[in-house]
Amino acid sequence: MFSYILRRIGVTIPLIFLGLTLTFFIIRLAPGDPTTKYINPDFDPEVKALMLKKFGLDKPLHVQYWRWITQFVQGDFGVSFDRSQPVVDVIKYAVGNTMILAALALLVSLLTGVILGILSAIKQYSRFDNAMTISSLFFYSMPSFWLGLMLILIFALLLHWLPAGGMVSINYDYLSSAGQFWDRVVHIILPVFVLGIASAASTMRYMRGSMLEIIRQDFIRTARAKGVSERWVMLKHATRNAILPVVTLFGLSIPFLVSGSVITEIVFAWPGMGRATINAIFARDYPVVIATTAIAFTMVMIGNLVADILYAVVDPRVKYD
Amino acid sequence: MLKRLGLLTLIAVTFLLSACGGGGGQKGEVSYVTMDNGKKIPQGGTLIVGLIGDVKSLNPYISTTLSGGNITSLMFLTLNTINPDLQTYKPSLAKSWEFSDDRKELTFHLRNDVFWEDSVQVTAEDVVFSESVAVDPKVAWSAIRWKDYIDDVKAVDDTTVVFHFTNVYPYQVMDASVGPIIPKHLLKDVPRAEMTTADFNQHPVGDGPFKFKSWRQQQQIELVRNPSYYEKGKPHLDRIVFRIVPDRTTLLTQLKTGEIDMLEDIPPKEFQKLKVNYRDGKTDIKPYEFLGRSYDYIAWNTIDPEKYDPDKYKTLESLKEIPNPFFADVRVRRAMTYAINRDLIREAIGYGLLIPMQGPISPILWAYDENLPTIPFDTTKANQLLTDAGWVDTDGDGVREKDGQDFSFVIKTNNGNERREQACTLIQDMLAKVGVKMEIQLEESVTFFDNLDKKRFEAALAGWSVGLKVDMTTTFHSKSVFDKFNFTSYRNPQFDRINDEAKMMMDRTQAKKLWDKAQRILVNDQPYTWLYYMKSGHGLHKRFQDVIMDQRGAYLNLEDWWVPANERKYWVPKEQQ
Repeated sequence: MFSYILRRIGVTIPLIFLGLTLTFFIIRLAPGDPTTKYINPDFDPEVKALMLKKFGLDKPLHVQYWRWITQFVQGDFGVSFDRSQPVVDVIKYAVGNTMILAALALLVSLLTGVILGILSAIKQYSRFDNAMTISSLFFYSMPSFWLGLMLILIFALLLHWLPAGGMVSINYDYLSSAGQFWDRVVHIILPVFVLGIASAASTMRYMRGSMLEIIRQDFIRTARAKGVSERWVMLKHATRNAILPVVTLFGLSIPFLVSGSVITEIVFAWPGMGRATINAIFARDYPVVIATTAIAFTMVMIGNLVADILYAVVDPRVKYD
Repeated sequence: MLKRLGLLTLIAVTFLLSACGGGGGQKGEVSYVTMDNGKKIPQGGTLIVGLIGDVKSLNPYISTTLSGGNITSLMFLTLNTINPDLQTYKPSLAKSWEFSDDRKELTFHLRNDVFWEDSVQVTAEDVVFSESVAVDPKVAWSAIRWKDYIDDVKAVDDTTVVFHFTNVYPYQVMDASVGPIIPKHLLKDVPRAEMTTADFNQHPVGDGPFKFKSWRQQQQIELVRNPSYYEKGKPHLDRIVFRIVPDRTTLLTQLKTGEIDMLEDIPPKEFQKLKVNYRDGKTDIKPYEFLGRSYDYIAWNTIDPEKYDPDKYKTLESLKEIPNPFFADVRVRRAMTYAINRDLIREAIGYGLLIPMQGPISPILWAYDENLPTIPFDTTKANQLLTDAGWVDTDGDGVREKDGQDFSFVIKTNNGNERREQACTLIQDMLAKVGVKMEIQLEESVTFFDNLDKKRFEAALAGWSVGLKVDMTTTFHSKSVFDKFNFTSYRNPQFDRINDEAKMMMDRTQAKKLWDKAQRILVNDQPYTWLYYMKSGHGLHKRFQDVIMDQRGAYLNLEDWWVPANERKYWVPKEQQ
């Protein structure tokens, strides 16, 4: 098992480098440069040249690449052109904010998805199952920006129950620590719901399907025949086997913990990675684009690895040598 | 079970929400200040401004965004501020100023009662230092060119500073005063190459009416009252919070829910609704409307394929002019303007915020000519001109041809700008009626600007924001074809001559005559079709009093704004002030 993990990591690292090198050159193919957006009759071409020089973009591309790669292996992501500060400072807040939101959303979606999926399968074709099928289809098909805006209209504009966006309210700094905690809670409810609900719906469908397949198998009948209680059959025998596809889903969701969700972050004014990435792309802020890509890349690799390891944990038949 | 739990949580949420509802903070005694004119004004109150994007830096020489400039203008004083006529100035950090007899020296006399937050006095040395930052190529300040004719700045004593100019021209005071004064004692040890990332830019120390408190990246910037501001009793508000909300719909919702108090540049349709609602007493958001600083136009690629000599014009490798078979002919460009019903476009998409525009000089500037000739909507004239130019529909397919080529072209504009997209659609329809086929191509903003810059377009719907100087060199002068913003490659020696003469002319009446002439040449040649000039529509909660907003912007006199004690929404705890 250990040597398997080592081997996987050995393959992963060159892959990440290859990916980053590609990103480095591909983003340069995009038209314009970091100064193109300052289009204004007062903005002189000489100023443009000065700015490009300041960013180190006046040198040939291979020189820039070499400079970037030597810095990168030393853990230096460079300076953001657009935010005028080290890339690490731009990203560190964004990663934290995205992780809180995405982790909660993932938790909500897994818990509700798995539980409701099991219940639906047990009571197949019941009124509950039908209601779940319809609502999961509804939430799954709903574009998240629309769902987000509707929830804002209902809960913020009409009912005044929840804030329309942001992570904390204006008076956050003047609140007691309990007040600050609660302030964070009310701000995160809607984005977690929007982000979690679509994947909860799909998790539920996976869980239901997989569960239905399992409970028709012989070993379940055997378990029942030997007198194991129905609850125990479902929890111990069926669920443990039915959860395998969900583990894959979980592994694939890990990158999303740090890559962020652009739409939800924009609609709810959540300062996370999705927004940082998209802003950087539009501003041609090359160092930030590469850094966010690097993180996303690494997380995809880790996610796949974790999923493979989890297989071995939940399924005794899977072994890695 | 699950359902019951959900319901319980919901109830708990509502309960707790109502418990911590309201503005937060403790209500307290309101103190009043009596101003020089005898008016008693309550002190305190919070203004919350919604911004679509975060600022880049809080150092005015690093920041390149409009909102960044607005925010730093509250923290850093400038030598003087411009008056509503956009020609004269009001004293600020400088009490007075005068020119030498030859007008090449401009002396500013500074106040002696202005201090940085850390109690160090603001002196002439700070002015000299700020100028040196402004012109340092390593800092690469975006307005560096404004200082081109200033060759030296010297401090005579603590409160006297002299600017030496190489030329005598109409904008000397403007050029000397542009750029806020920053503290030398805090920045002198920062190497200029590292000025961009200096720690100061995240925690600025200023001398303006408001001082920096905190900046949560991509979330909010908080400024508080500067108690040591030199104008006694001001500012009246104790806090200004800038909330960053990247989605326009959410921003508008937050304005309606009262989560933000002020929103600039509300889309015309929403602004129209706001005006109606405010009139009917249905909203507390008061609309403010004034002439803005920008306009939209169509740029026509004017390079003539017959007269085009690639060897003569190809000066830069990356920039190649591509001759255009349609718009090199002035008759065709005029026909386009005749065929476009600009009144209809303004009515259809403007909701009262778009006004007619015929030439390049903005109505907010002194050289604006309201009697400029108009090219009205007239399809007969358009048809006539197109036929004269040789474009005739011979095969009856509804599209004109000449020498076997269809009159079919592509107009480009940037996506995400609803106004421009709608204008394009309307224009497409109008041109089809005179036998011209136009396709619309939407491009991502930076890509679009890059294509404009590199002249990869036939026609483009774009916009300019106007500066405070009257000058058309960068957009229409033949010397700006390759290295500046003369996208259309418009070349007219007569125009060049008049423009060059007018911009250095000291006498405004004489200069105005020349500008009138220059504009008439452009109107006649139509390198652009000027579509409309925009008014700004801002929304601000009605509890704020003594607000001034005009063509200079929305951040003119925040130190004078105040909130009646009984309408106050937010209370900052005493110990936090």
